[in-house]
Amino acid sequence: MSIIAGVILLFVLAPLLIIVPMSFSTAPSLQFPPPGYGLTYYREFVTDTRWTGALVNSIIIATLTSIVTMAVAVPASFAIVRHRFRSRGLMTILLLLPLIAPHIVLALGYYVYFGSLRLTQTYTGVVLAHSCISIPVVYLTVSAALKGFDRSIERAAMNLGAGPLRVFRHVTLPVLRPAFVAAALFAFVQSFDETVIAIFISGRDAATLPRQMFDSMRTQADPVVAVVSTLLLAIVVAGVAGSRIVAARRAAFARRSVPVAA
Amino acid sequence: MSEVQPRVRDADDAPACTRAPDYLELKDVTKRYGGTVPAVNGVSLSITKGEFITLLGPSGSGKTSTLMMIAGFEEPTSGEITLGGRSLLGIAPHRRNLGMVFQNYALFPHMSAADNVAFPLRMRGVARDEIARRTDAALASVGLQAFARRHPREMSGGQQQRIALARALVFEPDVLLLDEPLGALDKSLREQMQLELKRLHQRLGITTIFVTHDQGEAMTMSDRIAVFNRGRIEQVGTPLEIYHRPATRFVAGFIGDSNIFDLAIGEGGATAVSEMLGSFRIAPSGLAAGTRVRLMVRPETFTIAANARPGEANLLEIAVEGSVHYGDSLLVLGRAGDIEIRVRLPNVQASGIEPGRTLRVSWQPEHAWLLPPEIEKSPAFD
Repeated sequence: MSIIAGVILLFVLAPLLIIVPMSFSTAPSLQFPPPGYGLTYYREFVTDTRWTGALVNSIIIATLTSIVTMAVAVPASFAIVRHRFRSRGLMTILLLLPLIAPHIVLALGYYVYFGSLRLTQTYTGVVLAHSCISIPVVYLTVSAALKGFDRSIERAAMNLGAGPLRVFRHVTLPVLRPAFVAAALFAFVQSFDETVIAIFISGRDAATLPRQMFDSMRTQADPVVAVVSTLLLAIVVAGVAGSRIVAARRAAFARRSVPVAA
Repeated sequence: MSEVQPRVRDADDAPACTRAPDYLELKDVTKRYGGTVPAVNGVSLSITKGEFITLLGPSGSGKTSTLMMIAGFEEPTSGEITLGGRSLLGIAPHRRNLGMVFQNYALFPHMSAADNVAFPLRMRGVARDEIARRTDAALASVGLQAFARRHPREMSGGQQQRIALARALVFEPDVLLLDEPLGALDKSLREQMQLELKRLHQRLGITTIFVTHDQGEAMTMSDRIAVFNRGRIEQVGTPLEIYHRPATRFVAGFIGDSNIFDLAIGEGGATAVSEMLGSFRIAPSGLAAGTRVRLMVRPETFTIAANARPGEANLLEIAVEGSVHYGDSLLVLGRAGDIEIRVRLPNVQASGIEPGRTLRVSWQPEHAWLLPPEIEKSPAFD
């Protein structure tokens, strides 16, 4: 068992172990092992406006995607989980459809359709397309949390004097907040590393980091790509580690706040 | 502790001169969920102020639906519910001022015990320092002051249950609703909580509606019990009335053990006859000869025949099939003719009772209960 686990780990980690050293390379193109080590390409990444612009674009687009997706998928989850209506099954399928449609097909569709709407090469276009593909994962995350949500605590809140809005604010929202945060992060990440659609419709004005990486790989195998990859990796690791630390702290705090039973 | 006491109702709520005996009233309440059989079918019930009343019945009998309609989570399909003379219908749950303890306690998982208890006060806009004072008092009244800052997941079932109770009482509700609150607790804790609830009720004098399917719980705690079956109330009465004078066969069977004999009234109305078992004396019934009746004899009513007063008692020969020891008593399972009979004897009398033997028992006519002839109002009685 541990051998299989080790092989899998190696498969997952090997590309990373190649990329990280290459990002510190002094070679003029991607080369492994690197002939020497330095911060040349990190300097290039932070000074070149093509890269910084793409980073800013990616952050803006991923943030807006997260907001738009949540605004659509959260109410949809509530409606589908909590109410019985005739088109419920159909709605569920529609919400999950982007999950089964190949991204390349979606991308082509957006390219043609958004072209006629003059939405290609705009934030709006990319955000709409990314929101569409993020809806299934947000819907699945939120509806799973909602299905496991004990509604008797909402009834308890009502019974104790809270009207519908205050029930949501004081009970439903705080209890579901971790699921909401997770869902919003999923949408953000989905948009942040989405490549196919970005290549088709983001154009130069709204180019995202993955698109810029793709362009620069195609033209020159620029080692800055390794820098970007390393930074993306660092961000993900920091994010996961950060959430673990927060959870651990919260647990420790809860333990500390328990008074010693007399 | 006095902080948790229900506020005396304002004069306009309950005029002092006419203390309305019926405080909470259900009139012909019916709830239909779409099916052909209503979940609650024409339930009428009058509850007096300060009373501890239990809605008892098997699952699906309509007791919980009735409680949900009182709490306002469900609206009756028809009928009327009034509290202190005012209709509750159309009033949202959060405006009804009823405290409720839910089956699983329904504590807010993201709040500490103190915040849970403070919640109804916050919703009512009570001043901050008064919230703190009343929350402390409520926690003290359930003995959990030291646990104020713990979260529900860090507390035992019994502690959560007490917090839920404190939360339901801290805002001085008009009525306390308890939805099978002891169901999730283990046996010894359940018995302890029964006593605690009863004591709390005596101290606060708050009108309490308790829903349970546990007849023992209903017997020990209630001023009155309303027995539900198939959406209807079969009988309302004190625990002793329900136990000794059940109105229907269902009630006789649901509360306690019972032996039921199908008989026909004999000449003169003071005997009842079974083709197989012969004639039994009964308390004078006033019923015409030939009327089909059911006679209920509780298992503990029987005594061993040698101890019976001759001439007055009814005798029965039972073919013993088995027995169960309860320490303080012995339950004998057997048959008389084709009727299954259960006899509960004090342990001192229980020797030499073995399967295959015949046991002769007797009972005094006045200790058996003739079930009123049942008008076939519903197919509920088989």
